[in-house]
Amino acid sequence: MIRDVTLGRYKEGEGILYQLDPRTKLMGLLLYIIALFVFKSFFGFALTFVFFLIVKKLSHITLSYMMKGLKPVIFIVLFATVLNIVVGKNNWEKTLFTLWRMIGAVFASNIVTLTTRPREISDGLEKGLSFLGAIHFPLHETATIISLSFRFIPILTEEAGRIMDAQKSRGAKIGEGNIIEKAKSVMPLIIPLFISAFRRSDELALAMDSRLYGSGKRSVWKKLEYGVYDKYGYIFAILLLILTIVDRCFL
Amino acid sequence: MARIVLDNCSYSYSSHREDKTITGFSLTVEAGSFVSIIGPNGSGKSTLAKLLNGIYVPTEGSVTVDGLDTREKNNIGEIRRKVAILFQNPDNQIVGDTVEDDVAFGPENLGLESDEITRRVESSLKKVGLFEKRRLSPNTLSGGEKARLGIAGILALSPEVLVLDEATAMLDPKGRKDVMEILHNLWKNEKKTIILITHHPQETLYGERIIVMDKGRIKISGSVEEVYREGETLKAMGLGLPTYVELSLLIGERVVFDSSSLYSILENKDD
Repeated sequence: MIRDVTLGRYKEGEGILYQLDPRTKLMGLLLYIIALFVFKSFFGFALTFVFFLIVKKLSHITLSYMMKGLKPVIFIVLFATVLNIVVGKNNWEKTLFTLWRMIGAVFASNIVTLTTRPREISDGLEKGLSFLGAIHFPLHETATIISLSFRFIPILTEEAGRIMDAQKSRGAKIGEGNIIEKAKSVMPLIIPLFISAFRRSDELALAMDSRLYGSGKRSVWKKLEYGVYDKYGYIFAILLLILTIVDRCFL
Repeated sequence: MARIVLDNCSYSYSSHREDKTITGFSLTVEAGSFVSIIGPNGSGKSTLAKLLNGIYVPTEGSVTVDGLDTREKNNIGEIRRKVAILFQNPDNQIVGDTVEDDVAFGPENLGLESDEITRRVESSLKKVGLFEKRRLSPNTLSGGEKARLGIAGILALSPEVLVLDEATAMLDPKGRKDVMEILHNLWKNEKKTIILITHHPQETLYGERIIVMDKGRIKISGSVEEVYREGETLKAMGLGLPTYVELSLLIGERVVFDSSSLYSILENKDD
């Protein structure tokens, strides 16, 4: 399961979504997640669901690939759903909405990261939030951290898989037994993974230092530019949010 | 052209200065030379590499690059422009999402214009034979190609000295040979200074001088021929020898090097 993490993995493809500017996709994701938590009736639910289907079609990402991305969080989703029914005493309609809010947010985030290179995400954040520079927010540094974190997600998940295989070959029973035993059994996985991650980050920092990162004013090789589809992307996402607000306030 | 001088240099990781990793190390690396540094694990090779471009600052003595002292913070940018370093695991040094983005990282840090970055990226990738793969993700490259990408990344900074800290350690024989041929070309044709830290004795034959380190000091230093005449001493230290030297020792023959023909021998060998 650990190798199934799709968050942060870029997938080569040719859908229209790949041609959108990262700022459009990030803003679209933000508006979509807000819309997911704003809607209150079946109309709003249907709107966000259809929006998701359209975006999925434009991304050319298959549903089975996205389901792989859902696997690591399925336990949290099911737990929240059961809690909703038992503790919240919600009816099936509200439970369905809660379930969709969580799944929709995971799917939407996955679609953005699968169709946008980490560097584009960091460039998009840096440029899109450039107004924060006025209050001396370390925008570039934050964007670089985010970009590098995304880059290392697949490397560390692969590493976790290798460590798990190595520990299993030495008799470790990872992920077996009851919930307490399961929690205890991940320690032989977590400790070496942390040590490895620290080693990697240390070497990365040295390599970046040696390549003069932070030595002065940086330039940007490929500057972001909006393309033909971006304005439709913005219109589409804003329209969705307005309709879900209408749904919440008037329906 | 950069000349590196280490003058009675010591370095200690701990606050107890008597616990030194590098001890009283003096060395001059002339511009345009190819120096290989070998030694057993823990002999201080990697620490030495990090002293050369100011990642570490000596606790005693000094390191200068073209007269620029690494202890002066204001010199560090200039020193790192002259002396680039490549570490062992290429995966831990790649910051770009595509091959060309990664190579562009250094020139971007230099604040260069887009046209100049494009020129440097293309030129560096052509030198290491990765130009055709410039739009691919680094994750799709083999270990040898990732090491070559690392070299392209530092070449884009236009350094005068390339320090390779066991950069071939994780590669298969073909990958190692490819990297060594690139380094040999950079040394012979572009007059770059190469400082190669390695555990593979065969790789030292591509250069002209070898430093053998032990316990933070220079144990043996000299030309390739001079150092491998001390084959028995090297073996006693647990170091490997090039196959050619091993054979000479085995049959009891004096090791004779014809330096000019060594490279042609290597060209025809995989290992």
